[in-house]
Amino acid sequence: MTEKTSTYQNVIRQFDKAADLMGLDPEIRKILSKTTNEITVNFPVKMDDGRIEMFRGYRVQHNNVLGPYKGGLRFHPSVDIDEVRALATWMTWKSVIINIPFGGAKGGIQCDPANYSTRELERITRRFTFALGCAIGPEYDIPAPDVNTNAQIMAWILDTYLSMMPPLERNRSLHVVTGKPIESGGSLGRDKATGQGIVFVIEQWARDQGFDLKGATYTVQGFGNVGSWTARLLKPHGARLVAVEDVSGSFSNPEGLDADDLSDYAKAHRGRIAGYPQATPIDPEAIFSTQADILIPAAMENQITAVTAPLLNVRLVVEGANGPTDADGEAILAERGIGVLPDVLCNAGGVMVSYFEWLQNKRSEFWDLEEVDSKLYRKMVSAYERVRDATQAYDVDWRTAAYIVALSRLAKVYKERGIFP
Amino acid sequence: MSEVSEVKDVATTARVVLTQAMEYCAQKMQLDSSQAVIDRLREGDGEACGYCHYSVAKQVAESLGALDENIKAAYIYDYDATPEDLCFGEAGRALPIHLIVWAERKTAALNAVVETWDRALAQRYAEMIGGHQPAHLLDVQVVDSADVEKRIGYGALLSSLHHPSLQVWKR
Repeated sequence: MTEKTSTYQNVIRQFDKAADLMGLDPEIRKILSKTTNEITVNFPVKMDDGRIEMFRGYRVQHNNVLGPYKGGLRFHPSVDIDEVRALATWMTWKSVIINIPFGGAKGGIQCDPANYSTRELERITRRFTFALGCAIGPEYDIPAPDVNTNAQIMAWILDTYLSMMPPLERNRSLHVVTGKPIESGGSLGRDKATGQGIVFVIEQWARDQGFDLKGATYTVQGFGNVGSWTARLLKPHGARLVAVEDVSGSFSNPEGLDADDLSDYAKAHRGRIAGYPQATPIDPEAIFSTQADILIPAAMENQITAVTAPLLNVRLVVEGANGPTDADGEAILAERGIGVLPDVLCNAGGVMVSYFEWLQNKRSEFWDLEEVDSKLYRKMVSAYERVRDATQAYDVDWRTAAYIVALSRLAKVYKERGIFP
Repeated sequence: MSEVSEVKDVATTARVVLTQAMEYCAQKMQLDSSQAVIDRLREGDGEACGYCHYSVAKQVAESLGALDENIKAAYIYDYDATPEDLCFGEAGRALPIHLIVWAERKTAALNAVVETWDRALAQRYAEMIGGHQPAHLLDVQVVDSADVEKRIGYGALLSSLHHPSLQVWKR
């Protein structure tokens, strides 16, 4: 199996590439290439049968120069410090690119949650929260759900954290986590946030290119939350979904698939699109070779590679998933003149709405869907424009430009504030 | 690799697998009985679905591993979620159960066994839970060592940073 550290190395490699191109101040480079805090805690938890089991948890805080550390908390047996470090660094870039006042962090507990009962998971979560103590906080480090964690786990963190606060502080600390259920302070608009953000980015790209989305064709790889919402939200623009792939296979219809109808079909068929009557099955790799204007990989990482990139028959790739294009694939796309709008920009809608949730809790407000959408629109457009301007100013690809935007802003803040002492 | 015909009592085995999954879930959620689990599943309780899916995946993986020495390990993953999506709550609830089987070779025989399992489990599941029979209970993607090494297709999920799969069985 490929070593996981290679992904962290990729994060740093991308950082180095952008830093070289923009001539990042070497002193700032030193700061940003390291994490600020790396917390490892070993803590005991009493199991249902009375045994004591030791767990190891991590919280890595990469950078908080722009605002509180922010990042998910995952429960997974493979969690280790390198993985958490890479993800924390990634979160810093993502927050800066989309211009939200958060720094980057990530955390995890090394465990297989399926091996523990609900009560054991509660005790694991609470004991970890207690062990972290003041290393998290609503204005310092804000955890969110991630792999194998959910709103319930966030609620336990919240409750444990509040229990450690003086009574007068408790109501002021409700925004210590995001990802809560709507009735407990979650934000409207979360379900479609990632897909909505992708569509806002596509709209802006089309406007800049003088490209009419009405009648444009696109393909989607992955018809889960991100893929299906993106397709449904592109429908009003008149774009035609000509091929789609999910775990049940690849399907096409040159006349266009109705995304709402397909989504309803998938819901009625346990999430699968196989058997949809208005589509014809095609070879699995045909999702890459289908002629269209835009390909939206919204399934998983490492899909556009040295093998699949030569097959692409589109003018633009819009990354809905995290890391769908590997370095070899990206080089081939660049040679072929196929643009790539990067994940760190395109799928930021989810993180953005997570920020909106934090903000609403902090201000004791509850925004309606229209307000969430309009704020998301403004933020995504503004992020898009900053990255687009950097592609032109530095004559680089969109991914490198996104990193340059992030590094430039961080460098500027460090220069203004200086280094203490 | 054993022939499919050797899996002659797969229907019975499917019932045992689902019964054990209910018992596992009841134990994890400290419920009184399997019937209480069935009630939770009918209500679409995400936690109950999560535990049951995990147990079914583990048992199917163990069974496949026993049948086929070609299989090295098996993993479950949440097809529908990216890390951001997981913030939205319903991870692990929807069928089918997504399983990645890492085998030395991809064989037609293995695919046939998987299909047999899927049909039997879907039928038994409908009998136990009620309602329409799901088209599929299992989504099994077989990857070989080259897929895993080169991170091709579902092989990439075994070392995924953003969307890691969970190992349920290893030889």
